[in-house]
Amino acid sequence: MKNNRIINTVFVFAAIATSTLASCEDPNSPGVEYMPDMYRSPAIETYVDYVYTDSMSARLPVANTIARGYKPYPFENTLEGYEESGQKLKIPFKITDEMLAKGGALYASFCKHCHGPKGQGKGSINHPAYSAVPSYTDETKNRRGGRSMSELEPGHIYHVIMYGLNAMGPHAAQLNEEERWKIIAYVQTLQGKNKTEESDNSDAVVTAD
Amino acid sequence: MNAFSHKSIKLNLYGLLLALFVFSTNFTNAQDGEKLFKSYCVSCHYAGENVLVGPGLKGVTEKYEMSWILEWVKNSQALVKAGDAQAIAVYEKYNKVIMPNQPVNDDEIKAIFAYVDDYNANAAVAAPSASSSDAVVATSDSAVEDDNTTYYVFFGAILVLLIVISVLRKVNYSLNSVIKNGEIEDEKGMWSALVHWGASNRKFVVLFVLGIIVLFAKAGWDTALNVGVYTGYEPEQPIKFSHQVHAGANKIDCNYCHSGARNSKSAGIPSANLCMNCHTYINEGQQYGKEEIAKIYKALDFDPVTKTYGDNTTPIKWVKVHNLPDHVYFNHSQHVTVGQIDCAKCHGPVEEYTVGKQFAPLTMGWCIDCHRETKVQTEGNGYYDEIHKRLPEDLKAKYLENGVINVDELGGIECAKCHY
Repeated sequence: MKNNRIINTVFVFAAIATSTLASCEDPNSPGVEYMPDMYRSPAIETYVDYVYTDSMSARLPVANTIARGYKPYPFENTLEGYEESGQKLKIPFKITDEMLAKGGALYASFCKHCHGPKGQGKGSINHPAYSAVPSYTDETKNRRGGRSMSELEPGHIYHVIMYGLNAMGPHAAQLNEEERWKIIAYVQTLQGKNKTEESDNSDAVVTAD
Repeated sequence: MNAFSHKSIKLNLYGLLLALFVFSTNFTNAQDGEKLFKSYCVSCHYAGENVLVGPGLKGVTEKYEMSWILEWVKNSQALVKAGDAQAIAVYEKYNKVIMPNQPVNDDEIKAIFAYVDDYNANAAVAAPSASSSDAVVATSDSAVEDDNTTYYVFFGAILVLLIVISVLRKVNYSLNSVIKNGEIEDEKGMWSALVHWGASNRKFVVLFVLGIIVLFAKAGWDTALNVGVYTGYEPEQPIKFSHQVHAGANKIDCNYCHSGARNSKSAGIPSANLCMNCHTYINEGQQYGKEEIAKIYKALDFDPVTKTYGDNTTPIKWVKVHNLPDHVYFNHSQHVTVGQIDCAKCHGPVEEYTVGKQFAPLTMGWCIDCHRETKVQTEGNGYYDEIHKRLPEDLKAKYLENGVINVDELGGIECAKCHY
C-alpha cells in the first residue's frame, strides 16, 4: 500500500510537469502565473482590455475636448488652405546642425520608406501604389497649385504632413509640431535649400492669425 | 494532313509577322508612353482598373472621346467650372480631388493612353498564368496546415493506444485471477510481487528512486523559474498583421507605427487610422488577399470603393503580448530616446516575426543584468561633464576609476526606480 501511494504521487507529479510543459508550448497561453492579482491589476493598464462594458481600456477622448498642449491647425484641407499655409507658415526656429540631425533621424523613421533615403522617391515600400513617389527636387510643374516639388515652401510641406496628399496619408497624429518642423528643415536641406541664408526664421510665428 | 500543317505554319508565320509589325509600330509609341505614364500619372493612377487616388485608366479611351481626355488632362478644373457634365461626374465620383494640370502635349497624352491600352492587353494575356501561380501558393499553404493536423492525430492515436493497452492489461489480469482463484482480486498482487523483487535488489531500487527524484526536482525547479515568464508568448491576434511584411520586406521603421515609444511610457498599438496611411490605397495583401485588410475597413466602417468613412466603428481588440506585472514601472521613452537602446535589444528580430511574440523574459534578473552592463552615454553631455568635475575625490575613485559609467552606477538598480 505504501509503495502504491509513492508511485501514485510520482505519476501525479509527472502529469503536472508534463501539463505545465505542454502549456508553455501553446502560443496562445502566456504560461503559468503565480498570484495573477499581481499581474492583472484592478487599476487599468494600457491596452489591457477589461473593466469597461465594451472591454476596452484604450479610450477615445471625451467628446468636444482637446488634449493638453494641443494647438488647432488653422488651415483647411482645401487648395486655398494649402496655398495659405504655404504663404503664412515658416519654420519657427533657427536651423542648426543639431536640429537637422534630429530632423534626419525623424525623417528616417517616418518618411524614408516612401520618399527614399535622399528624398529622391524610391523608398523601400514594395507596392505599386507607392512605386512612383516624386523626388523632392523634381522640377515638373504638375503638383498641386501648379507647382513643382522643388518649389515647395515649408508651409506647403507642413500642410501635407497634417492632411496628407494623394496616396500619402496624414501624419499629424504621429508627430508633434516641433518634430514636423524638424523634418521639414531636413527635407528642405535635401532640396538643396537652407544654405545658411534662409535659416534665420527665429522671429517667425508658429501658426498664423 | 501534311499539306494542311504546312499551310497553317505559313499562316501562323504571316500572322506573327503582322503582329510584330503592328506591335513594333505601337511599341515606340507605347514605350514613350510608359515613361510618360511613370513620370506624370503613376502616383495617382493605376494603368489597370483599380482605383488609386484617381480612377484606374483601363478602358478610359473607350469610355471618353480623346478630345475630351486631352482637355481634361491639361486642365481638368476648367472643364469642371465650365459645367461639363462628364467632368463634373468624374470630379464628384472621386471625392472632389483636384487633378493638377499636367504639362504634357496632345501627342504625349495619346502616347500615355496607347501605353495604358497596351498594358491592359498584355495583362489580359498574362492573367491566366498569374492565377495558376496563385493556386500553387494556395496548395502549399494548405499542406502546411495538414502537417499540423497529422501531428495532433498522431499524438491522439498514441494516447488512445496507451489507454486501450492499459485497459486490456487490467482485463487480462482480472481474467487471469478469475481463472486461478475463481474470484476477482485487485491489483495488490502485482505490487506485492514488485515489492518482493525490490527487497532483493535494494541498491538498484535506491539508485533508481534517487535518479527519478533528481529528474523531477530539476523539472520542478525549471517549471518554478518559468512561472510568470512569458517568453515566446505568441497569441493569435484579431488581424493577421505580419511584422515580417511591414518591418522586414518593406523596411518601415518601428517608430512609424509605434510612435509613442519616443515620447511616452507605452510604445503604443497603432490606431486603425494609422493603418489607413497606406491601406487607403493598398487593399490587398500578399498573403491573405483582401480578407485581413478588410478587417481594418470594417473596424473603421470604411468603404474601399467610394473611400468614405461611416459612423459604425468597432474597435480592434488586439491581444497585449508584453505584460509587465503591475508592481513594476517601465518607460519606453527613457530607454528609446534617452538610452538610445535599439528596439531589437528587447524585442528581438521583430522584422522576421509573422505573429508578434515576446522575445525577452522580462524578468527582474534580465533587467538588472542589462543595467549592470549598459554604459551611459555621457560624452558631449554638459551635465555629466560638470557633475563629474564636482564629485568628491573618494567618489571619483569609486565611480570614474575605469572611465565607464554604467546604468547601475547612476541608480539603475535601486529598488524604488522601478518599484514604487
